[in-house]
Amino acid sequence: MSAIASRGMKKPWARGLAAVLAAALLAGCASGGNEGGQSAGNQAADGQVVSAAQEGRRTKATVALASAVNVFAPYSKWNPYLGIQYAGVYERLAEREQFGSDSFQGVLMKSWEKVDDVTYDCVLYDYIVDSDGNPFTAEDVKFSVDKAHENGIADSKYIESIEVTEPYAFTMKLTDSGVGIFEMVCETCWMAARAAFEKSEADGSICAGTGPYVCVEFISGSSTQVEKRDDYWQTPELTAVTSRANVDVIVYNTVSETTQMAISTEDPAGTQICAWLNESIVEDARTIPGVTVESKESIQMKTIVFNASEYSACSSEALRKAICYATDNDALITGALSGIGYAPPTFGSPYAIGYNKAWESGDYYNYDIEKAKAMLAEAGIPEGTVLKFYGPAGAETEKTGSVLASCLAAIGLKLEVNAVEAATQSTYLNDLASGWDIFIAATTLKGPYLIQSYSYYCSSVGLNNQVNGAMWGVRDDDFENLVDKSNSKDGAQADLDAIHDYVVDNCYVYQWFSNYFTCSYVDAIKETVTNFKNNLVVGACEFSADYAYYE
Amino acid sequence: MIRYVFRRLALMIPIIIGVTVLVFTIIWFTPGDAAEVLAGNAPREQVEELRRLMGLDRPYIVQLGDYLYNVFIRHDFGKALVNKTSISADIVMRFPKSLIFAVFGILISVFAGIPLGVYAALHQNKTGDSLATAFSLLFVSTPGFWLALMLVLLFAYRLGWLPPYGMGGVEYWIMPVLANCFHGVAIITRQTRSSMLEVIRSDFVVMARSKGLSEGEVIVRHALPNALIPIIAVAGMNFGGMLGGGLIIEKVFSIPGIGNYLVTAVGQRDFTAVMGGVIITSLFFSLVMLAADLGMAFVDPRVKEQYSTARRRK
Amino acid sequence: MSQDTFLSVRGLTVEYVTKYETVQAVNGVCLDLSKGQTLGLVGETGAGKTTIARAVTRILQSPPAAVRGGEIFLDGVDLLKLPEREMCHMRGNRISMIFQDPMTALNPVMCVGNQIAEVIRKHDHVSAAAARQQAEMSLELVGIPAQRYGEYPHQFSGGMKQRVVIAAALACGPDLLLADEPTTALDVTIQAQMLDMMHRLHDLKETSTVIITHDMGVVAEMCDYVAVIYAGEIVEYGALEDVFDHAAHPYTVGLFAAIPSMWEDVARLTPIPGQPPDPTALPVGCKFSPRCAYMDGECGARPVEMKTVGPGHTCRCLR
Repeated sequence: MSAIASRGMKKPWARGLAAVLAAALLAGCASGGNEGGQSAGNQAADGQVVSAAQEGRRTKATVALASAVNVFAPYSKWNPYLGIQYAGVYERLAEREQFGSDSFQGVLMKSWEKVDDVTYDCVLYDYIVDSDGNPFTAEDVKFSVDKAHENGIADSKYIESIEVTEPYAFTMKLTDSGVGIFEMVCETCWMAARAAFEKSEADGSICAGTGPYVCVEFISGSSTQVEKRDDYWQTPELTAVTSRANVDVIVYNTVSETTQMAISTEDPAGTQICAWLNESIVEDARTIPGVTVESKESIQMKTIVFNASEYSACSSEALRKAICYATDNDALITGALSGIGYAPPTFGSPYAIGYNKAWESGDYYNYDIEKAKAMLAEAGIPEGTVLKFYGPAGAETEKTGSVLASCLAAIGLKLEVNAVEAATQSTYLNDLASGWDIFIAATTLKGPYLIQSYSYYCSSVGLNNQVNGAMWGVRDDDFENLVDKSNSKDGAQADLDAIHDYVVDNCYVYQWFSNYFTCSYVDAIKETVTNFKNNLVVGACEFSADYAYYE
Repeated sequence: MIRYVFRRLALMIPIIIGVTVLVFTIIWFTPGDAAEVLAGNAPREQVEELRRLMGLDRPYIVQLGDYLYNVFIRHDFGKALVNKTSISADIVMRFPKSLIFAVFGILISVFAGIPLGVYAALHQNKTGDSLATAFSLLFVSTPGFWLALMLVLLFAYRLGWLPPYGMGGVEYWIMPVLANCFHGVAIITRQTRSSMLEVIRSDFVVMARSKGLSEGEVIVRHALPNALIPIIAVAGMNFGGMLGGGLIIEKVFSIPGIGNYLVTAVGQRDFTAVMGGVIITSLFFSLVMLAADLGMAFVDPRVKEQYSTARRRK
Repeated sequence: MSQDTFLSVRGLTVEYVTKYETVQAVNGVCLDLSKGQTLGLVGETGAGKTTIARAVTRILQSPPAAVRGGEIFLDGVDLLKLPEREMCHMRGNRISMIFQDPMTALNPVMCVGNQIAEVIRKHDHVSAAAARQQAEMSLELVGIPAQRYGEYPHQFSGGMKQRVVIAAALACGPDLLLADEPTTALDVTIQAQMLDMMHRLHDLKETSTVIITHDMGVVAEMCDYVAVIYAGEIVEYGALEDVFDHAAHPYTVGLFAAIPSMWEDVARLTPIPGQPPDPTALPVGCKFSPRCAYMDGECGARPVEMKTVGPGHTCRCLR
């Protein structure tokens, strides 16, 4: 036998074997081990708990999420999917109970007292213990806030300092005396004990949190498993809504491909909750037996912002109004969102404190071609003028851009659609002379109070720097004064009404549409619960007695 | 020969440094940076402040020098600018997954492609050849993600044999690897077919037959080793393609690999993460090309001699 | 034509069929060879000599080549009717071939020793070590030191490569050796060495040999019998002296006439006028007739038979 040929045959086999072994090893490392454990099941105030006590098995919810979470650590840049996965593992100082509720409840804080505009004395519960057994004290609050500062978490910048006064009490000083700032920072800063964080840094494990769930496995970008712990520190009567643990085990899987998500919705036995569904698959999901499809309004409004500075044709108020009258919101929702969306009735988010339902009775530039043409004539803009439209890169910008283009074509204007990446967006928009006329901003609720969103987006601390003024590029001192007044402790509803009317009348921005966040879930889940940012909180959902999905 | 290997390994260092500098420069000149991404819609001073904190406002040479020093002297890839996670930890977690794709993809391509190509060459212009050629044309034109989704629909949804996505044991890897390697199979089949057709007409193949060897022995011991050289070269280059091209498969099957990581990092202008990914990818690609060259030397002693004596001739 | 003929070819016809045309390469060739004898097959390039040799070992490329008829008897067995597996047993073992171009006849990625050893292992079924030993002996036999067993073909010169080919061909002691222009690719001095060696081997092993060549000098040195081929037909056959001294066929005469004389001072060579016929469209009668000086009307009319012109000497000519 030729020696060379036989050597030549063996080598690929040897390589193949080595590779198979390596793969098996890696696969073994990847799948984590679960320790068994009996959970006695705890009662939440409403009594909707699925307990495995009957059969000795733990209940499990498998959730398919449309976007990946790459990091599981308490001081990370926030995104909605992160919020879903962290819920129940890490807690915050205080927050509004649920989406749309006005009452602000303490989660880690027992009580707080306003000393002056920027100072608050706060008291923690003194029996908080995280899943590693570390007690959570005021020192840990200070540590968490410092870490948030270090990582550049946006809202933490409003906290100027935390001063520890007693083991379980501290004084928080804010940088800004605006309305609702304190609530906002309490709501958005995740808390974790220093000991837990340092341990996770040292041995590369997941940082322990104070919530009722423990993260037992995290594969970055692929899946996360959290399990209920028996020793949650809070009493059932005082447990925050978002800290409920109604199911024993939750597994979050990343399913970023839309077709895969559609397949998951059709398999409720394998995946009990799917969030959030792309608009194109919602209709099909509705036809699946045993599955409920629910759409909730997003807290993000897609807003048209005009370049009202001298560099753009949109400095003409009549032109802006003409454009707003020409936009057919229904056509947009049907065309770009497959019908899964809604047109806000007025300027402002209905889920913020301060929203006045009376505003909805006015005409918010409802679709009216005749009025649009009249306004255009008044503006004196010649037919065939080209306007430049910018939006964040993605399919939605293309679709909405083309709908807007056809709306404007009906009144004789041309639209050029451009998409910009997130990394370069501010470069374009901060330069008012760069040529943009219209851009789409996804404006999110900034805090519990409407004035916070208004002041963030509509005043000089908004998107553009102070030289340029507000988001739309024009500085208006009267308007600034209105905003400042409303943001102070003297602010009244009338001030808020004034801001609202001012923006609507001048039409600097136009809230165009908003998405629905649609999720599908098995009928055995009676109701889903979302937190104040409208993120799903799986542990707090109401599971019916015949929820029968186990580990 | 050993000297040749050492020389190649030593050559890899300037290549990787060169790639690092090149990619760094490209990212540098691309508009936008990580501070903008992190700060979001913050006012200008905040973005500037963040930039200063992150060290992104220093001049090009300083940042480049600092980065090169950290990576090559201190062996510290640093932290991702946006996620603040340790890049080496990320890479250690993600890169092996992409590597598994590429390695198994190549192995399947080679072990499926070579026999198919040999078959096509032996049955040239007959039905067997037409079938094999049609198959490879089909595979090369089919988009990877479409194929992946079709596999998912068939095996996961209709038949329920395999899980549709995720990580875990061997069954989670079967479909992703298959979807990734079809293209490679097609390429290697075509290359094998044309190499074999050339070799089979050679005199030494006729001589081998005249020695009384069976057709199988002639093909395997005489024809194939001579046809292997271009095939090895093609397989080596294809490996690089599989390493990077696994991105789409990663997305469909929710496998956290290096492709996804790199694309997200580029969009976020997270240059430390991008550089980390690029360095490790180019390192492995160089190693694979070296392995391919060594493979060629192993198969063909003339190439081996070329490598060993190249220095001495000068 | 009798019992002790070892190799007997009867009416062999081979065509090369392509989409566009059919080449009639070998047309009804008949040959005989006795054991231990050497036959020289002489003819121009393209006359069909290699085709005959490859037809005997059945290594013709099957499309486009097609054996249309005939029988080849080796020691009584019709080779054309043997199943492939048995033919494999024959090749290398009882029938061997030496190829024309030594530069391409060896596998460049296999060491020369192994290329010899694999023949031995295939047919003699001995262990690798024993095969290696035998291969080394074969190498020594052709004049290559045994230490060069593990070297590769590109490390040898042309002449040495041809010796390796010969060693491989003779490794299993074949009964029939077909040498296809063994010296054509070599220069004259090496040629002489090669022929010496082949003489020695022939004396050692008593192999029946067919030497295909267009070099009359080689024929004169090596062969006992000569067959002259033209356009796929044997036009003259006989013992060496008969053909050389008493060439009967005009073509044969022309061949000898074309060899420049060593003693005369000739300004121009004397070639045979005309060109060989187009093998896709061969003339019906005598294939040489268009070039023959003695042609008359009858020659071109119908196929010509072999006529005996002397004891054991036949010629295909009407004269």
